[in-house]
Amino acid sequence: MAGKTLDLGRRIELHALDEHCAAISVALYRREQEAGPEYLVHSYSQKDGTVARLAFIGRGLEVLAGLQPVAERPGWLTFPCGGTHERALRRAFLDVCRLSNDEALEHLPLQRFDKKADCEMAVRTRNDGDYQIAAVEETEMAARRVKAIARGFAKLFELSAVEEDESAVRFTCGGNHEALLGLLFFRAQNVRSAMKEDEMAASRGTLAAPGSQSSES
Amino acid sequence: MNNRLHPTPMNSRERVLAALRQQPVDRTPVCNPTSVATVELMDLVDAHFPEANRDAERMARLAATSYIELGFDSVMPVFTIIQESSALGCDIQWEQKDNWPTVRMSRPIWKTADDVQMPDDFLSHPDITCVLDAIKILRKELGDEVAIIGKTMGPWTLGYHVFGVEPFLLLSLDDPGQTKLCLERMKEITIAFGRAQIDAGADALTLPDHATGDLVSGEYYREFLRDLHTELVDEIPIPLILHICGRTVDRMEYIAQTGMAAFHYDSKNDPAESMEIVTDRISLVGNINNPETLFAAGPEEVGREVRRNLDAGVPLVGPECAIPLQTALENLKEIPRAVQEWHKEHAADSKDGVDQEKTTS
Repeated sequence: MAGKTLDLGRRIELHALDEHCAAISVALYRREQEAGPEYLVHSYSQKDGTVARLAFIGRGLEVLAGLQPVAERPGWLTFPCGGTHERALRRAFLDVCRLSNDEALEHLPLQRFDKKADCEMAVRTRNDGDYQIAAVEETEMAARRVKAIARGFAKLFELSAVEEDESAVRFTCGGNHEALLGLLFFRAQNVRSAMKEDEMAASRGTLAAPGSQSSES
Repeated sequence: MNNRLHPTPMNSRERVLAALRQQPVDRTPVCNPTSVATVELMDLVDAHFPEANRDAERMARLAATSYIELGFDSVMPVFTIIQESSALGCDIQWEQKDNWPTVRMSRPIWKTADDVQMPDDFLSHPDITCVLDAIKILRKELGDEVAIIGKTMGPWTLGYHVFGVEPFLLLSLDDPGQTKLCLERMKEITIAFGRAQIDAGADALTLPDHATGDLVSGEYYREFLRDLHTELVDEIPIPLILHICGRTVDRMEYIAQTGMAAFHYDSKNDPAESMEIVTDRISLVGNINNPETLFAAGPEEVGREVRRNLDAGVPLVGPECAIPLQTALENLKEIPRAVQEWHKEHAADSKDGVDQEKTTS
């Protein structure tokens, strides 16, 4: 009996249950190529709507995360810089999976309201490949929040801190990833909830011995 | 440990059963005494939780993937640990595709040993018959190619489910006699379900009994379970694989005295240390870490853990427990791949050794 599973490289992220498409699982696979890593959105489901759903998520990664199609390999995507940016991409994938197929795909703005600072915050692109977090107006908490958001980008998505400037970060490739930063901005503002969400996702689907299950279960 | 290699190639079933009987094998079998179901495999064969835990066709289809897709030497259709408890009347939270069903242990169904009774229709309850029918389907579809492993829960785990964890543990402290009576009566449930699975075609049975390292000491195991497990070996006439999670080296000596065919052991136990304790009295199986390796790491780390077990002479290799449902397929496929590679290397090494001996003589 021949198996039907495919060798698609390494699975780097999984959306286990897609509420927008018959509860299918959707995975993001990574394969190394000469020019750098390439990524594929894949599902083993044959349910109606799967093909359209995968196409939507792939398109979402192009628009919202700045990936581009690989010409000679349909379905595969890559960063224009040829870089990895795996943690950022994994989060981007999960966030795109939350969108339904009928939602419009548009770049998310690099300026958002920050509740804790009580003002608008912006990510500004500098010519040297750095991104600076800046408060659009002065408030009591603005200066602290600028640094906290920069740290959030660094901690959650492996951006590098910029020496002697706690308000700035950069991708290791030094390239332009404005679309990706727009998508992840909200997460960098809410580091704790993002980490808690990751922990909950990791524990779901793990069988605990009866003595370790919560008393509610 | 049995180091003799079987002279001719074996099929998967022969390999697993030989290893459980401590007989020579052509290579170390890859065995899953507990579940290797994942959400991607569910999608592949259109058999999802919770239905795949309650419907025989789906259960069999999903179980077969461990052999057909992953290359394991065994299949195990009883993914959950709650089939019997459901049939006994426990309140079950069946969950969705991406999570495990659990017993709502905060709502126990029994309070004393007098309450313990196997319902007359226990073996015809749908959550029991689906297991029996799934085993029959697997036997029909896969023939004698692959080992079919069933599962019957031990009385200690049933005690947690029907009395609740805290009440059951407190009872064991306050009234050991009453606790032993409960266990003695619940043992009949373990035997009945086990024998029914043998009739359905199971080759071996996993017997999870969660006297786990974090809650119960080695001496507790000796006092309450060693003799009872020995009786289960006598009552259930196929190889039994005892499963207990956690660090269990403090009870391995007692486990090795029970006559179980194998002990499915956790990655919290060092393979070499564990082999030293059980010696050749019982086979060990398992040990590949779930949360940190199979779930969160990559094939390289999986391969390293496989080799660690093979180097220690562990007779059957596999995950330490039911794998997380989100485990990546490439990590699971790495287990049989690493086993085969290790054997190739060691076959080459022993050939080199023979050549060397010829040259020097």
